[in-house]
Amino acid sequence: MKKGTSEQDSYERMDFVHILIGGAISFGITVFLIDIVQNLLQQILVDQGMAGVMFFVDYYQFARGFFIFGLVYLTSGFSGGLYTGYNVYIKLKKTLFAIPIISTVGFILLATLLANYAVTAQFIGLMVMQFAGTLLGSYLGGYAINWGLLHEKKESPSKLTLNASKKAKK
Amino acid sequence: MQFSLKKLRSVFIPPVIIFLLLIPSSVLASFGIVFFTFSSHERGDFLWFENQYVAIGFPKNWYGAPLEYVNASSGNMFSAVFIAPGTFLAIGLTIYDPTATQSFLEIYNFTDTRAILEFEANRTYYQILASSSGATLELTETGTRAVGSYEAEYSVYLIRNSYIENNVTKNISFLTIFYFANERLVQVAYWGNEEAFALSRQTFESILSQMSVKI
Repeated sequence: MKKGTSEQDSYERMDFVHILIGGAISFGITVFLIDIVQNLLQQILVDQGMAGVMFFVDYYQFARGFFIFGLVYLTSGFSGGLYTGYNVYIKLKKTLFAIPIISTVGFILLATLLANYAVTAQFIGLMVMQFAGTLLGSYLGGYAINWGLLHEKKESPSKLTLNASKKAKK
Repeated sequence: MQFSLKKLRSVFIPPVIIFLLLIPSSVLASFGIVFFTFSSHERGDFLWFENQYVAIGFPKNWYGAPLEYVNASSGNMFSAVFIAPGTFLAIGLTIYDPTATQSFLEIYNFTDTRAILEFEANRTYYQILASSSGATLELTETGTRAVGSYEAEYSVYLIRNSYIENNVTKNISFLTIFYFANERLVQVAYWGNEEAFALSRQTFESILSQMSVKI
């Protein structure tokens, strides 16, 4: 349920739950999609007879990074942002910033503690990219779901001014 | 009509449009990098790779992975593996720099490339024997040959009953070449399923003839 815009300006307990759920949605989608999308790129290269490109590791990592950025990180951030933006309206900028933090920290923990990934420069680069992609997606999702309300909010003072000036003329 | 346009407007708001534009943009950027890499390294039927150790071409549709080991005390080493798609066939390349060559020869007490060849053949055979107890090693070809301007020692082995695929016992053919390019030890290995090995031997020879070790 969306809360009113003016009657609440501090977080309630349920808001934190919704923020956590939003982060978990983003994290879950990342975990679910990341292997599928990586394999998809490899499969496309194999089908096109271009598997040799993977030998040029630096270029290939860039290409894979862009591919994952759009299809995984943006999408997961957008989904988390949609959910959180719908349920927690207040302090939207701060609220939506929590989504990529939860998602990225969750992924780092999963990769290092469970999958035993070594923390290398490449891994840190990937995590920075995940954070950036999820952050962008989260804001786009959060603002998309609140777009109507934000515009109502912006429009309402001018309407008031117009009405006030009309009354003054009368 | 008016209603649907209104609905469309309420869906295609700036954040959604940006989101929908960013996804294909990042995918296009990704393919752009792939095509740029592919076209800038393409030479005939091969992709061409060059670094401080070697210049080598390999088939465009083969998987590959380069590896560089850097060790201040025991020297540097460059390795690359190329794997043919859809079959069990691979080419391996290892180049030791002068320090690494010295370390390698000292560790195993090797005096010539023939001794390294025998050592490698036995090592490969015993690795296969660990998983396939009925495997037997058979030397099918050995001698010297030219690789670029260098004379190399080579051997071809057939390891019978190496592995089982679809309930059929398969053999592995294994070719290994060692030579010194000035003070750098170079190892080239070509191995795989017996039939695929024979079929792609020409591709391997073509890769080998175009390869040049940098000194």
